[in-house]
Amino acid sequence: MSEWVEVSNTGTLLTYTVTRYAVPSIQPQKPPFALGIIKLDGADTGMVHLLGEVELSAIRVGMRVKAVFEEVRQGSYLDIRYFKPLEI
Amino acid sequence: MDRVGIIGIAQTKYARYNPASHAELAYEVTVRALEDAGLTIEDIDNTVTVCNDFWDGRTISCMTITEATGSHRVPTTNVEGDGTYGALMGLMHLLSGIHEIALVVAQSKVSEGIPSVITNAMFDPVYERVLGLDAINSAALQMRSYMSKYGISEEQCARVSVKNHKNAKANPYAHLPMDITVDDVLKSRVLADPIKLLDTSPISDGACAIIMARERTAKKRHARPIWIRGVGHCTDLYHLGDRDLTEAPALALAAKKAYKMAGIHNPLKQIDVAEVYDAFSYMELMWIESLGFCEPGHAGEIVDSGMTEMNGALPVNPSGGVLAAHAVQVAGLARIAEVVLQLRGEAASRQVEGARVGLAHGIEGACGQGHCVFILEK
Repeated sequence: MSEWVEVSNTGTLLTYTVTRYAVPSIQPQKPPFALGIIKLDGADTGMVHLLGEVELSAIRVGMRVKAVFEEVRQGSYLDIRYFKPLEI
Repeated sequence: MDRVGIIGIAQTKYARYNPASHAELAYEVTVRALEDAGLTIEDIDNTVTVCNDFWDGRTISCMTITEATGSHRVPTTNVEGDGTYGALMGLMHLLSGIHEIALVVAQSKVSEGIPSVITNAMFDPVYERVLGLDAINSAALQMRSYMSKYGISEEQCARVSVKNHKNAKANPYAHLPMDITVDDVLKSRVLADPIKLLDTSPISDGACAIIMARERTAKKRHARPIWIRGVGHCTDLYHLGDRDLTEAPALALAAKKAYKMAGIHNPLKQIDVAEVYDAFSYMELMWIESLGFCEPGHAGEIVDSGMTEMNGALPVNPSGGVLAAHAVQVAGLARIAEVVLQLRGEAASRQVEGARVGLAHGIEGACGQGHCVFILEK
């Protein structure tokens, strides 16, 4: 439990949704915005995160995605800005 | 297990807004459950309240319904969780041998507060809350996952909504009795794909109370106790990414325990009516699979076949279920109350003929993280 295991910054999209209602106090982006559960290559479990740089209607279960990091890190989960489709 | 019988029940009508306060709602169902049981408040020797601080907007909110539930006189415990867990606590109070008659009261005014903000707070503050997750879009992640694995269609999920809103027309307590079609559901506003407005339960204010007693007292004080034959509960992992959202192993385990206690080997044959927690249309499909009413992935065919309709082999949610009325934390206790009505033969125009054994189910947490199952018998 105490060893760090390096995983990839690429992964597979297990599921997704596009939120279309606004609740400004809790939402990181104005709707419509996409959320997904991504299983990183090398990881045993998934992580929920935002999806970006993608046509909302083009998102598919099983898509390969890649993490996009912020230039300036704040120690926040959102230091990963979102996951975008992985170009093959 | 010693037999414990439910001898009193009451529900308020569920509505988008009820001007009554939390305490007034609790008082209404307390008085009416006592009337239903033929008891007075002095007969109650322990209580369980079901209140949640976030939904009530007060710290230790259960304290504010002390007088309304007569809890200032007796040992009382609060359960912050679905009403089925409140009933479970009441059962445990009685099985301890220390108490005879328990009053369980659940109340909630979902009209107060913003459900998205409250349910966002369910999630991990570092890894999940910041994403704007709430009850609806997390359920959408589960619905997509489940549909994708098994090829369940939006139409099949919509059929659950059509059935339950129609069933609700026969339930005087229901918030949303409606005649709708599959097409109406498919055309309703998309909230978070694939969840549409008519796939979603409403915001409801309401309350429910049940009174249960140990066998010797139940038999002495009431003509028709409805017996608790089995109960089981189990909770799945917390982080959405750690779970397989296409299945409900916690429900399967909870059901297994409840079935074992109740001597149920063949749920389809032995259960006459079921009230399950359909917070969203797809959930009824997932839950009936984990309850063993059909194989995993086959609930779509089941709803298509009409098996769970009022005139089907195993009616599910004759009350209209949670899709027709959703007072959070109350709704699971309401499922128990509805099954009691069915088994007493008092369900009027929503009665399942000849019902002798019923199943009541409640959930808590995101995407049905926790499940509690009761088997009741006439």
